Amino acid sequence: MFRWLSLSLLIAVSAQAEVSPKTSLADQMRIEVDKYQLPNGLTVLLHEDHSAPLISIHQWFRVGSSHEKVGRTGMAHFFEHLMFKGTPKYPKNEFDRQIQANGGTNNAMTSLDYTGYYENMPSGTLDLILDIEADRMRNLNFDPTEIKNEREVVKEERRYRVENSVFGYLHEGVFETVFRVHPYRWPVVGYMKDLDATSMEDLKEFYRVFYAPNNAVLVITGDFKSGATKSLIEKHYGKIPSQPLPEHKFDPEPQQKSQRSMQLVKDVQSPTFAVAYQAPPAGQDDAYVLDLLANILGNGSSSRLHKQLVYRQQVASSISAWNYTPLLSGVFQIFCSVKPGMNMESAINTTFNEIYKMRNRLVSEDELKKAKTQVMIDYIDSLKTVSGKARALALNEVLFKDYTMMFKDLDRYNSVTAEQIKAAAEKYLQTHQAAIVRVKPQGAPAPVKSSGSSEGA
Amino acid sequence: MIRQTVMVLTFLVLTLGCASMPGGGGSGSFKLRPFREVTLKNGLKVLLVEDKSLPYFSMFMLVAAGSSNDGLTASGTAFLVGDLLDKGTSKRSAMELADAMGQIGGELSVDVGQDFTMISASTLAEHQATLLQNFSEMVTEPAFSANEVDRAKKQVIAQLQKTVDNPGNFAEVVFDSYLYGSHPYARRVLGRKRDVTKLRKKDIIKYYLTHYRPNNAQLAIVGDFAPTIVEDLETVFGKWTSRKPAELTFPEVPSISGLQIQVIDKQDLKQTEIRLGHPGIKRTEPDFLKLRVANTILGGAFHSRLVDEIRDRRGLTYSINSSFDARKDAGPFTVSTFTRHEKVGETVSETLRVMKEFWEKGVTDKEVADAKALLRGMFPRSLETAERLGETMLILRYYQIPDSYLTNYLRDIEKIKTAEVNEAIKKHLQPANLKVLVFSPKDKVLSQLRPIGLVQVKNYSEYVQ
Repeated sequence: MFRWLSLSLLIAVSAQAEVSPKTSLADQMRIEVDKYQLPNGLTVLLHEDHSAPLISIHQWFRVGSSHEKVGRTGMAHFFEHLMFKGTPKYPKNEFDRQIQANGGTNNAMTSLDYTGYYENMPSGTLDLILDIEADRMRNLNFDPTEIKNEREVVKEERRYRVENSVFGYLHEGVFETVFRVHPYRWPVVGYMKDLDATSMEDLKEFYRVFYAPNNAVLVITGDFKSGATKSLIEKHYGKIPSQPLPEHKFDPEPQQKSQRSMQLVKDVQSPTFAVAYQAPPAGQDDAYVLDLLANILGNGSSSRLHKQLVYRQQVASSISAWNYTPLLSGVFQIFCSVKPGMNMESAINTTFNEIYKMRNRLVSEDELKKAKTQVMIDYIDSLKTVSGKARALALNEVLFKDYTMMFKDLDRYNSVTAEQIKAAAEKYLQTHQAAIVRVKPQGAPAPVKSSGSSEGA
Repeated sequence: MIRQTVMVLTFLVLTLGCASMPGGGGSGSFKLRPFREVTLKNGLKVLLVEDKSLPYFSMFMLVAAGSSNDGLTASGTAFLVGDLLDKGTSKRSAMELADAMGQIGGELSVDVGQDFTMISASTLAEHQATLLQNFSEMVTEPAFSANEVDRAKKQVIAQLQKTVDNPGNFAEVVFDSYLYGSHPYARRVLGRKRDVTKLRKKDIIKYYLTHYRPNNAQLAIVGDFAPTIVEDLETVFGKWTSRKPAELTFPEVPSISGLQIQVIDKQDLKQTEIRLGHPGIKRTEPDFLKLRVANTILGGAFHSRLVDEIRDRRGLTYSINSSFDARKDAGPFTVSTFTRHEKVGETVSETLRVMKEFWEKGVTDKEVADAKALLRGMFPRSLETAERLGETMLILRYYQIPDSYLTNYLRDIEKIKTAEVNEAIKKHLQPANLKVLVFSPKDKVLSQLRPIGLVQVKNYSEYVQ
């Protein structure tokens, strides 16, 4: 079925050895990666691609909001902002200026499990970037004025993403409702009072504990020579010592026994809701099954929920379903924006009806095939640029300590059957396992109380 | 686990900043990846950009009409036409089309703008024949059935009403109408509720028949396409016929005198959205690149004057950026930001101060050198994929910008001198004559804004009806 893959990829990947038509999809999608570790524990992944004069440098750390403590939520992300405040060698303005004056852009991101820093640069700038990245792994400035200002910036970010955003509120509500014990329950951006409470000492300690070479993955993709690059990496990172890392201790989330709900009344035109379920973590077979299930249920105008709610009933203006799979536990979620004046409870009932069908009937072969094709297109899209490739490699290496996991994705999706989808729906998407988060317009009637909402937050 | 990256980017991951710009290279002329141009018998111009690096096939069609072509009291027509393309053809119903597109991996994406409409779709290389068939059928044989028109109108009206639920988006839309008065750029692409309600099937068909013509469109085919692609295109687009395109003349862009402030009151907002600016430049403006350098220094990059002052030094916002949206007629120059209610006065006055100083004193040689290096460095990334090249070239051709804009970009940026940047700033920025839009609970901000300029207050509900 996918014979064309081998043919076309052969042309793309210059370093690729000849692929026999009988090799698996995994092998066909493989890109040539040189992986090694420095004695201090820094994991390095190099992938040469000379099709454009560009390089992408990703330095990710295995620390995210799930490593935070109660009362100091948001610290991983707050700290990520401080990583741009400079070092004695590259003071704040000099740091940004050098990157831009060399024709590059940089940014960073924080998630539940990791924090990633990256630069997209013209080729020939690796010496500078590696010097900057290695330097800020150890020698960061902690200037009280900078910290004071950046705290306000982060609080603005929270207002922007959560407090002034219906979607952001729903998103935060989903995680708070699905998780009650697990550290995924608090938001990556953190709570206002915790951001206020975070002290310089807290931030310094966070840096000291987690920003070590043996907690990091360095990925470089694009137009460079591996040999010379390895010497540069040795030069800049070789002398940074490794250090013991704390054990990531946390309480696992118990299985949910009855339906939960949460609600906010706001001055909005459109009612919105989310329905969410605990799901397996990244890498497990069922995660792949639920990815396809989510696709069939709520990805695009040919999906079941879109047809029902947006097209036939015309109750909703948009709906989407996806299965989010971070490292420790997944969340299967459906978000729906109901049209102004329409009945949110009827849209929620329709959603549950469609999930009921998933638990009780097999999806058609066409639907399954469609979902697999859509997933494959997403996969290909993510590999079109050098920065996309670097990101995919970094993500897989950080989560699984094995970047080759990404090459197995397509085979694992392809092997999913309609029976497995039904079984996953039965295992994870029972009504008592659901969490419902609603944003209601002011003055709208109260929702009908569903049985089992006693556990509701 | 590669799909997570897609989701993670949109939903769960917090990035450091919002500043974003299109994506180094040596000097001299920039070598574009190979492409081929053909004109079909019916006049449709086609750009072929081959890329066999991954097994995909993508189509982009630019139709040279957008919301500016809507009738004066028929705003929203262009949007409905675009929205209805995949809602039924002479051969298939909306749901049949949704399934047919879904089965090969996606759906038709239609992006209706003020100047033009971009229609695109992508699939795996093995499904290219099916995509060609579906795409051409939707573009050349849409049914515009009464049922679907009614359904689409209701959907648009719901969208219009709920825009206010997204404060940033709402501020943007209201700012356009505040800046442009009776010029077409004032109108929302989605239309005004009173116009959309009145639109009839025949208005939609008339727009379609006027503008959706092969000689008023361009097509780019990108990816791993078959050697027979040109014949295949002749087959699927063969029956689509040309017609003399309608001329569009713009009324004069309104000018602004002095500093005007409009507060849109909404009591429950948790943060204030701010937009300020004035009508800017056309895409054909000869100072386009000089202004690109200027804007990079002002607020178009992460390290820029506005970001340094408003975000980093004062901690007033998470994001501030400036941009020239260069269009067929003079598009807006806009500074966008948001802050907590109690800092609205400081944010507006400091932003104005930065702009005034920028205008009065100009930029330094060092700033210009750094901005040029950044623009040059990012340039290859803006054309890194074959899709980006194809789409970019369609847009350039629409604005009648020659390909030498791309091939000479690095050299032309390099040649720009500080004095030229400063002249362009003096000529095109007007920090004393501009409009400020503030979307906020009025009681919390009025006393902060009155010392800055004349304030007019409106309630958001005026924009929701």
